[in-house]
Amino acid sequence: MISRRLILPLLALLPLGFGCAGNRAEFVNDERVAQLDTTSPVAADNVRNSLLEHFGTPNDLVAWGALPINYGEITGTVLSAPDAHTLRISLDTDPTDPTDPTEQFSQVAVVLGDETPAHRTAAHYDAATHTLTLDPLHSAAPAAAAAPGTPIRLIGHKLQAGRKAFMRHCMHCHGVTGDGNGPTARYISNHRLNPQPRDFRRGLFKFTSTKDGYNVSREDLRRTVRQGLAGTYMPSFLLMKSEELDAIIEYVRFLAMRGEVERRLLAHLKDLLPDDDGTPPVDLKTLEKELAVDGFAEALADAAALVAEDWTNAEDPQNGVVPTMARLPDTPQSRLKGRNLFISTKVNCAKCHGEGGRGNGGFLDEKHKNPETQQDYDTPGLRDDWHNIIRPRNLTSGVYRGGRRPLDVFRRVSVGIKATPMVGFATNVLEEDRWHIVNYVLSIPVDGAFFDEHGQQYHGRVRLFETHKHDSHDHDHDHDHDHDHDHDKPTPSTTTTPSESQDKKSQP
Amino acid sequence: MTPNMRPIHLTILATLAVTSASLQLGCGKGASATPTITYKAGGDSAAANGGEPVKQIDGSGTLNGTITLVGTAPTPAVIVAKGTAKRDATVCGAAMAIVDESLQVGTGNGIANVFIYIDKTPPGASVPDPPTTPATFDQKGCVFRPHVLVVRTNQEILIKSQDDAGHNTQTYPGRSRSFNGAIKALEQDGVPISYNKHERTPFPVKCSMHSWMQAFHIALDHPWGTVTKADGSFELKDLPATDITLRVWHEKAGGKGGFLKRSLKVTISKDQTSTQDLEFQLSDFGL
Repeated sequence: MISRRLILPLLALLPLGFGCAGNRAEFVNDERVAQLDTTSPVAADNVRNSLLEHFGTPNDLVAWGALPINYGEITGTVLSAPDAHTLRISLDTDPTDPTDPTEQFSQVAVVLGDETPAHRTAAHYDAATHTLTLDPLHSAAPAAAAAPGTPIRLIGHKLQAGRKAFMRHCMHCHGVTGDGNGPTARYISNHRLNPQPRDFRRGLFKFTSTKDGYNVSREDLRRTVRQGLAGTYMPSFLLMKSEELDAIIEYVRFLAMRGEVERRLLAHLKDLLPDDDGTPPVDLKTLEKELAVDGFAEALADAAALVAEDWTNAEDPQNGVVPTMARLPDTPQSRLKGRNLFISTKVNCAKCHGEGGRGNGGFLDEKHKNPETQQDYDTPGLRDDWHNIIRPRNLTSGVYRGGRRPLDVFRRVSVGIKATPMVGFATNVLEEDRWHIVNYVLSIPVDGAFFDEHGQQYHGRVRLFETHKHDSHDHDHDHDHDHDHDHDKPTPSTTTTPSESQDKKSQP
Repeated sequence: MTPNMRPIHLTILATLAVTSASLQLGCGKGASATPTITYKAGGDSAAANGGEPVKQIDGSGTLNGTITLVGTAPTPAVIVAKGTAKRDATVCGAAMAIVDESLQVGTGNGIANVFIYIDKTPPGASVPDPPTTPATFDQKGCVFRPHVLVVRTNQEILIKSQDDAGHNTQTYPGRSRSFNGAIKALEQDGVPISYNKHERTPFPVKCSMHSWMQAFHIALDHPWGTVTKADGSFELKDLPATDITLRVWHEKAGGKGGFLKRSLKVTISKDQTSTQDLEFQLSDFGL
């Protein structure tokens, strides 16, 4: 009894020794920055400094105006400046933050007038007296410089809230940097449990409502966080307050853009990287000069502009996938049309997903090329853009990571899954045919998983496709029982010849 | 609750209190600290190109040449022997074997499919509009045709197929929007795509349904780029008559793709044709 009482407090001391190791709140740079150190330390330092200057650290974040991120901004006007570190201000919008009234504007950036932003940080805002106290430690210039009537901007409360909430809810898997390498990630990514936590740093997200080639929208991220990703470790945060959710989403976008800017800078400096065997490039000095490694303001501006444009475009409703016709009625005839498209040579979903929709359609035995190195991957299998082996979805399971609404499946069929070999069929298949495919795919788990990998129907359960066998599209469910007596005679496959009516050209 | 259990409960409570305190203190500025925000205005770092007007370049010239390999060209590996494809065997490699196209050496040891292009438009050069006729990117026997393609930014490319098998085309541009779309069997109208940005280097285009299928594209915001023909020859017409820097890029340079020559400086004179012949060793291709 006594020994047990002693052990517990001793256990409690453990975190003092180990709790913080490997878990520090710091952004980790891409491993190629360290590789760059071996050839061009100037360039490597410059990458680090550029990221530090424009994104900061998790405890000292930078809100960079070049990026389309809602950092949280409240504008107002200076009424008076009673002393060097106190301002009486009038705010344009109600600053009341129901989530955290005690820390109102603590440590947000303060920008006076149209000055080049100096380091000014708020310590506290008292809504009752309209008094903003500046943090003297973080405020370079005295507030007295602000004449009455000077516009004031308080920037960053949302970024703060997002950082805090991200650390609480997301960091464990996605990591402080958003590189998908949080402390829990190692338990997920043991090659059997798929997928790994998303690495945000490419700015790529699989499940979007946007067209092919376009980034994820805020609304898409919101849906993913709220609903989770079915069949993965990504849970649902449906009960999260919407302010907190919005803040997390902005912070995820912030981390993604930080990663993208880093990646683009490294792409600019690619030729400076050592070979696989560590050999530095020839004529290093010329190369360093040409790439302006001591400055690369132009490369940085270019990276920021590209990233900003991509994320801005994602919010444009014009770039969303919106069906122009309502879902077609989910009839046996529609499912059958979908089925025939599914296995047709023209559309050929079966090529990856298998005749029976079980995700076993091949490609898993072929070595694919890494698009970054032009070399074959070591092991066979389809890859996503993060180089993970991925498998075509097993459609008999009824689990749809990107959402199970018909609209979600329509979007998957239309524009595919970003950063994966799941290709979009909007280029290829008429909208109404895509709805037929949706109707069929959604029927597979309940009704249609009756095809094995050879396209043979399973015994007994053929009520839908019975109609095809008899070439009669008017009957549907009535043949169930008849067929139960036919167990030893597999129904002929429907793999051949989708009828001419499925041809794009012959559709109205 | 028995009297016996009370001390244990207290111990647990104390344990929890100490644990949480140690988490708070031990980790210093961890997840619970309020981060400080610094604001940095955007746009200030953009390279300003205002100021003095740039003098227009007068006239244009032509550059041609041949790129050759020194030494014996390796025999391209057969990827799919005729009639042995695991999938789509009636289409892929049905008429002829599918061979590795990554280094094609033709007559006179000329190296085909080398990209030669200007990266940054010389200041003062007038850039003609992109052609309104679309480029064609086709596939036959599960091989992309052409293997290399130079287009203008925003120029339409029609992706076609002569194969009676489904394909998909997946692009990996560095700056433009990517494309990943299915191409139906015998697509003759062509699926239109384009690249919306100037690209700094060629990038791969793949078909994930046929792992060997690979091509390289580049989109330029000017017309001064080309690829070498089967005999290794190239010609660039209407180059601005000034000092230009050309990039020479090949998919197998250094083994995994890159510049054969990063900066080839050439002076173009008005109404003149200059010649640049280049030789490369097997070692330049990681061989």
